[in-house]
Amino acid sequence: MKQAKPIALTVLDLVTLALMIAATAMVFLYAPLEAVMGQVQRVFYFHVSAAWVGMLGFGAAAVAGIAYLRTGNMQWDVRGMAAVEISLVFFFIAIVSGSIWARPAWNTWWTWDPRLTTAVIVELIYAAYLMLRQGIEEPERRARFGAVYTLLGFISVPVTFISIRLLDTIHPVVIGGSGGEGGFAMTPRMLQTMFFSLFTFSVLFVDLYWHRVRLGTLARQVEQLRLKLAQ
Amino acid sequence: MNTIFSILFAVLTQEGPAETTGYMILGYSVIFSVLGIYLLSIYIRNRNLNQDANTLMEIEEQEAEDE
Repeated sequence: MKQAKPIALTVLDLVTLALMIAATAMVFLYAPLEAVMGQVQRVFYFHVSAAWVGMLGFGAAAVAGIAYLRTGNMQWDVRGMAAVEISLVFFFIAIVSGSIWARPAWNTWWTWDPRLTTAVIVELIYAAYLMLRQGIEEPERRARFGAVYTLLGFISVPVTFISIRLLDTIHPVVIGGSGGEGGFAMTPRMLQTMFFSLFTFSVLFVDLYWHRVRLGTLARQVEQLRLKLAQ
Repeated sequence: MNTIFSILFAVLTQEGPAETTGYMILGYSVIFSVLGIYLLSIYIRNRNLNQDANTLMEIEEQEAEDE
């Protein structure tokens, strides 16, 4: 039953590792020191990238949910679950790294600002998805529940994204905006570093997603084998 | 002369960036630690599932032989 690891996945692992090293080097060696906040501003590059990947994964889970409801193919459930789990990790990183940045920038670790509050709500919605799934024994019912949940849960993601553009918030608008507390004008080198980090984290997401889908497929096979032996 | 003094005054009295290196180190420690723990969890779960699969297949073979 052991799946052979595809060569393409090994190549992707190596490319991802190289990109991560390059992105880290750009953050620390290429991007200039921000004039007001100093070194802590460097957290911004991976903070934004982690938030981007988090939202990307929640979107991917919603797409997988639609695909499952249309086809009934259990592999879509595995894909949706994989996307949610990875996104939860990245969204957690975004929330915690944002809090660390906020301490010197806003003089507080946390404030119930619309952006921060909606981000926590998104994290809790998807954490509940993982917990509720575990309570459903029958695989088909669990998959149907998961598909509907990820579709409904995804409503919270664009709300978080636009919250800083529509509501009165202290969170800076990174792309296409200004204002907020701790906002700063980006130099070309800062922009290049940010976009390279966004690209790197997107590739990291694809790599982790592939591994996680393989893991989910293996888990499904083991579950089927257990059910077969129990009969 | 006045210009030189005003420039010198501005350079000497200007405020540099805030000292926030500790927060940056903390931020990146958290980022890499969480990523590392997640990678480790994928590896461990994969190893455990492979062990489970092997055990279940052995039981299946045993049952087939008994029959």
